Amino acid sequence: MAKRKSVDRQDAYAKITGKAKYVNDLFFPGMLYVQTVRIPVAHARIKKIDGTEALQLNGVVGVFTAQDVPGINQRPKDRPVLAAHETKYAGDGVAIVVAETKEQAILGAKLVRIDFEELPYVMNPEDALKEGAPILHGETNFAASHQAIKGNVEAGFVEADLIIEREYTTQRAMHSAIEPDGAIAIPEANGILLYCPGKGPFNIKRAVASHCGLHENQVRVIQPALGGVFGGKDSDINVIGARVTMAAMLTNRPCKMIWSREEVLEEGTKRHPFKLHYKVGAKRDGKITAMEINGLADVGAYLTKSAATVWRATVEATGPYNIENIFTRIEGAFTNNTVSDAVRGFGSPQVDFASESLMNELAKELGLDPLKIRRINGFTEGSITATGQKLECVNLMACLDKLEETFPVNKKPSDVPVGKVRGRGISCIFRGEAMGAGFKEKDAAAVNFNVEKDGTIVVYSGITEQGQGGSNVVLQIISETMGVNIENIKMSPLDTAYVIDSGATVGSRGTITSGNAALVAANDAKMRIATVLAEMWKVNPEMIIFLDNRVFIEDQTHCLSFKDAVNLCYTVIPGVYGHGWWSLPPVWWDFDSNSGETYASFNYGACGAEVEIDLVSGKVEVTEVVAIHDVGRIINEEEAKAQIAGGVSMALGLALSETIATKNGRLVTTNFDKYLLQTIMDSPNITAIPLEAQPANNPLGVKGVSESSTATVSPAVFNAIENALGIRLRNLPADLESVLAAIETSERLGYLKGGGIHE
Amino acid sequence: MNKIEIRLKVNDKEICMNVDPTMTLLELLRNKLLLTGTKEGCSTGECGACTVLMDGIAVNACLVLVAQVNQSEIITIEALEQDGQLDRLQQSFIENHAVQCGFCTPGMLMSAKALLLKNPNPTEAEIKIGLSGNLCRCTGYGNIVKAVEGAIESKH
Ligand code: FES
Ligand code: FES
Repeated sequence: MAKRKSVDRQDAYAKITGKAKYVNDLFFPGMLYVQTVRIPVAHARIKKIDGTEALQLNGVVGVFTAQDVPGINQRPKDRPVLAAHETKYAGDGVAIVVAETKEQAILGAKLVRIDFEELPYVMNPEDALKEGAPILHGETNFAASHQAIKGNVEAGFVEADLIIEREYTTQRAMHSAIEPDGAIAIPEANGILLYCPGKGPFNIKRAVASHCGLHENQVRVIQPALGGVFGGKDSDINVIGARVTMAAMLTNRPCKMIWSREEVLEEGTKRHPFKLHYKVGAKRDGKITAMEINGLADVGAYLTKSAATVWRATVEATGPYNIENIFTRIEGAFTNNTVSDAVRGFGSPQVDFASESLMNELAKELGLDPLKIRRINGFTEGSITATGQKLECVNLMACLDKLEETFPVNKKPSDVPVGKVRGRGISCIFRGEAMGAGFKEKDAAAVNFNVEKDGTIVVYSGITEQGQGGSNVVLQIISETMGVNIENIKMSPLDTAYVIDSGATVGSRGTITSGNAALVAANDAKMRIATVLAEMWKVNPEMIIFLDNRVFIEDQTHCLSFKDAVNLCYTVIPGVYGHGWWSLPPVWWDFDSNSGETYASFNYGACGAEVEIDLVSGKVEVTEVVAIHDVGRIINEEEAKAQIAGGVSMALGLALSETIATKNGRLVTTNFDKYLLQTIMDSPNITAIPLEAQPANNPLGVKGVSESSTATVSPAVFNAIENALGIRLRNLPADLESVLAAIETSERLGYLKGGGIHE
Repeated sequence: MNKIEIRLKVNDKEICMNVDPTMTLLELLRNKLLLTGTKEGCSTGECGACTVLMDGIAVNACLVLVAQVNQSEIITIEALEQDGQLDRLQQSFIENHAVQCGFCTPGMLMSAKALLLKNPNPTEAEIKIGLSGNLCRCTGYGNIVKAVEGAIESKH
């Protein structure tokens, strides 16, 4: 197939004119405002909650607690709608105040009197597993544990000429969508209508129904415009959805809750911090003989999807390398920190940071080029992973070739200003696609559409548009398959009353599942139309061509506009529509033997980063990033590049500036003045390269594009820092303090800092 | 609390209202005038999602109190498209794939508008400074810079 043209996004117009309606832009008659009440300590036993004073405040309509939750408040180890007896982190909600105005709700929340007893808390997963640590759930703080074992790791180390051991840590970080989380619930005759921006509308519906004692058919979720997700708007939005729903049920009025930025940071879920210990053995020539990995993740106060995150990390922990002997065990422990949950990358950024830093450390010890060691050990077609899975459509070497061509890692930096040093680093990745065997449900999506009598196509898809351009992919596939201009195809708003449950838009599965489903649906509609015309035209249906808003046969003896063809069909058949389902091949995982088909496919990537470091301040400026990602086949090139660039930018925050900090069990980083996202001033020159090597094994040949770039950047940056300073940093992020501390320990750098001569 | 009377022009419309003096311009725009195109991301002047033009200068509406806008002229994202005609910046944001989730977009566009009003031919560095108060979590900023460059007068 010819290379596709980039297409402008249909959702852009509403967004550039301010006409797009996000949840906070919606108002309904009689709407009340809901504010959450929290206890400002990390761990507490709730003795009494007294709303009397709050209720006396003008405008306050109700004060509700866990006792008022209409359904199942909490499942074991998971987040409650409102904490009933005990709060497990400083963000836990214990009550909600419902009032006529937002100001009154906030004021009312301050007047709720809570009698509580502060309990001992634990903020570090290693301490959490020690004897005598305060226990968060049940008998132990153990939350999850996964293993991947291959060959005989001891024997592998015996074979090695060199063994090194290193430890890496990653920090707690946040999605930080610029849109704060929120929802509106409206009581209706048959239940609740929920305006709720989330990446899994049907998950929200199920969670809210269960929390609020409703049947699933009594909760309808309409998705407003989504102001960014990045793995968030998931567990948090379920809790928010349940709180506004219970408020609406108890007051019988529409209820809105929008978290302030402070609340997003205090209560919202975060990326899991990991501590990862690696032991690796290799031959002199660079061939790795064994790798042993032990890791511990901080799950935070509740379980949510931590088991799946740790599982993905376990599957991918070695990095994309052919190793005969592997032992990986990664565990997760509860602490009184904010809840850890999905964030763009879902466990991959943590292990990729460690394994790719390790590869450079190993290369250095062996006196090898960092690219060479990756080529020696890297996955090729048919390689076997740590979990015993045989790989297909492996494009790692193609990514490394492209990296070598676009980012010569050994290029000597020129024009380095006095007092600064520069360095270059690389990394690579393999990453499981879509949900994988860590989740039980079938990984499938549906796309349906109606063809209207004016020739427009109205599409319904369960995959959410959260900024990634996923809707446009569906429109594009229908457009090219049906030969109809994309302007004549419209995506309907996502409403669970009409669309089919297609799972959550996570794991970079949107394009793979809904893109292929759109293809099936378009072919279905085409066949329906072609059958009618073939009969009239007395030709074979296969002879009918759909192109440029026309339907015709090659010699043009029969030709109709698409619209006329559709109208003709309506005189013969009851409807003109396309239905399409597509699901990924099944995957499985056996927890006893620790093996299985983990993901139906993997994508590959490679990254290069150049840094310039100010020796006086310790500031690391990233001057260039090249990010190459195997996307199978490109649907919309500029948008694919934009996804990669966005992932890079988010990852630069992870590498350099973003850390959720706490003191005495409470959050210190409560807004964007302390939690530092990358700004336009920090943004380097990013070259995003979506690579078309071997296509993936699905009809469109596509792979996911949104997450791998979030993983490869931090190791490339840290390898570049090492290249510049000659000092290895192993703890994310490389903020001013840690870089400066490293510089201060180095005599050579002290000399350079004073304006010495460059090497 | 005693209300104060304010007079101002919003998107070319004269407005006279009695308002609570602690109200912010952002609350006035979003909650009273229902101009919800201007977004709220942090309420503390850190994200730029609430950027509007006040007498031709970009301000964070969440930091401006209504008393301060008395007698001034405010332009919001809703007025960028005139008579069904997109502003060059808006068109350029579409063409350069500078919009993803769109939540930062109104603020970005207003900061860019303020910049071009003051400096019709900014360099890349000047564009970056002009947009330095606007956070975007989606794009990595590259396409936004390109979009502003694409809207520069001399390039047309
Ligand atoms: S909402 Fe005003 S700067 Fe963030
Ligand atoms: S486009 Fe989403 S924050 Fe900028």
